[in-house]
Amino acid sequence: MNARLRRGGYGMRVLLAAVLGVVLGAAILVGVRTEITSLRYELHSLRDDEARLRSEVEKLRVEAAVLTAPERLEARARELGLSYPRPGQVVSLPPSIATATRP
Amino acid sequence: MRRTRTPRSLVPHGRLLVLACAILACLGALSLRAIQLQALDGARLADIARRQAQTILRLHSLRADIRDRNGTLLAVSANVDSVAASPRAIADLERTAASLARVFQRPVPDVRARLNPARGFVWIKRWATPGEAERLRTLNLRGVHLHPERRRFYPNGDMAAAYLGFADRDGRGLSGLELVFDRELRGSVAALPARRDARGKKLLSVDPGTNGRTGRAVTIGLDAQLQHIAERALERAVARSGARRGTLVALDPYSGELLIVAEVPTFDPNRFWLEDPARFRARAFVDAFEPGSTLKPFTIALALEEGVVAPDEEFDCENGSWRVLDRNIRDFRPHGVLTVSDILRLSSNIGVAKIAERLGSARLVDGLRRFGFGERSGSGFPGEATGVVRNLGEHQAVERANLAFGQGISVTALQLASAGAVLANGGWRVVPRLARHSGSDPASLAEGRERVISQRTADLVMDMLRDAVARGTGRAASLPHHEVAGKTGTAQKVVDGRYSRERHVASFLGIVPALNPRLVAAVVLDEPEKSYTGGAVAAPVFREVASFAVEQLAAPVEGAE
Repeated sequence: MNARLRRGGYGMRVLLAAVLGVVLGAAILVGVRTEITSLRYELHSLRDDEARLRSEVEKLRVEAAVLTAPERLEARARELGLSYPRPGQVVSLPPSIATATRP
Repeated sequence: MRRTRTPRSLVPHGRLLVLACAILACLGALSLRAIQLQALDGARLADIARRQAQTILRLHSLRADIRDRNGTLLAVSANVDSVAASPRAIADLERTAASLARVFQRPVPDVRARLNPARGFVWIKRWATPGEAERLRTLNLRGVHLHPERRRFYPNGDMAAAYLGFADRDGRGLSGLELVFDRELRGSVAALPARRDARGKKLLSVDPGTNGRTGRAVTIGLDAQLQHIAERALERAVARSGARRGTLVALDPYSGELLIVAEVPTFDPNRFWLEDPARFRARAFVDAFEPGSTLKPFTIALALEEGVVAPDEEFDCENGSWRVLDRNIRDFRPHGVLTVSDILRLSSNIGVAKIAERLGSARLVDGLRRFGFGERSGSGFPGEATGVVRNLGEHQAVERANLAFGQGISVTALQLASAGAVLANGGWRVVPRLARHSGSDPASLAEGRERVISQRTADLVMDMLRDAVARGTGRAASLPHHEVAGKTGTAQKVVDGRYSRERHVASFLGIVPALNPRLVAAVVLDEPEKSYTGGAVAAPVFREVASFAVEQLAAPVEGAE
């Protein structure tokens, strides 16, 4: 009788273990799926961040281009008392002379 | 043994068994359902699920940059915020209108009128400034939204505006280079598969990447520094002379790259919708005018090429008046006997008319067409004018004489500069290039070129043009350390079918440095009022630009070696 009970208890344990195994497997599967979805959202959020930063870079490029526009630079230079050289004040020497006069 | 078995020992075992059986039954049922869903109806259900969750995300790329030959940004795109509202979703319209009016510094009634409660969506302001967008974010008004939109910026404002053109709010090129290079700049719209979650949020299924959708940046031959100098010089000349407008176009005589395309007055393409559309015309390409004496070098070049005159041959210039059939041809100042070189230096109409008589109508007309007059230059710029070179019979002596000194013909400033490049580069026809020449081999530029005149003829005419600047009508274009070749032009405008004595077109065709040309430019001033000759108003503009160009293009000082 005890042996049967023991046999019955063993079977029960195997059954419970199998059930637990199935439940655990399902939980892992669900967990993995949830993690994938969560990572996908995270990836999406990172892509959003990337797009935002790209947009920021674009705006900064525009700003830099506006700040270095010749008209603006000329106005700033004039404020500082600078002016364009008159014709003939700047000359480019031929390479032969430029090399010969180099110390 | 059976009798000693207590019922208690069976109870928990029995209940456990029942529980286990129930769980097993549930699992069995679930398994059967799973099998049904996965195996039997799997394909159909997967298809339904895919259709529900999958969507296509359309990504528009930003319009690519336009840069000058040195990499300076001339046109660039960025995302900016536009402000929209859903009036139906706004609880307190008066208060929201007051807040928006404060942010955009607009009258409250105007903003309130836009917030029509019957409407679900209204734009409050397209392309808001970063400051305005930030203030709205802080206010966090209910029913007011910020939408990112693409915007085209022209960082240099009105610089080369008519040449660059502009793109509309949807990123389509509407005029100028924006239209010419629209396909390259715009790129394509990427349609990427994405998944949609229960809240409707879209998640990309694949990496968006950038290939195949980003527009390609275009580098043009323009030099932003030279362009700036030219525009300021032209602006001053227009203001000084009281001219209606001015144009300056300059190109590299070998590659044909357009280095400067300046127009005055100009406009700001950043707000083109507020500007006068008449200013959108790139007049260097689309407006033709009678060139007057700037055409004389080409008449003389053709006569020299055909061998009908020699450089030192003398012509009687009739002391300023010569009768051809029923018309008198006059010089600005009377001259006696002049050599061919002096005829060009002193710009004698009579002298050049006599040279054209030797050449004949057919050879003159054909020759001018070989220089590129009367046909499109091949630049590909939209709306480019052909100008007019009419066929002439040999008996049409008056028309031939007029044509010889630039009357009865119309040309664009671009054609004039391109023809000047033929003289500067040793006789080769040049196709003006909008984009920067990408080939590293200068020899590749000569492929498929057409020779218009011989090297010898080109050199002879260049010598005469140097003389015209050094001692002739173009003295105002001379530079201290570089020789300049050039020719002035002053043409009367046709008003009501007659040449007007009051309205003129002043022009100058210049080449610098004359001994090793790097830049050929045509300067045109329309209807200058005070001084009106090319030598007085157009040549100084060339001088100003040329003095900077020889530095910018690093042309070594001449005669130093």
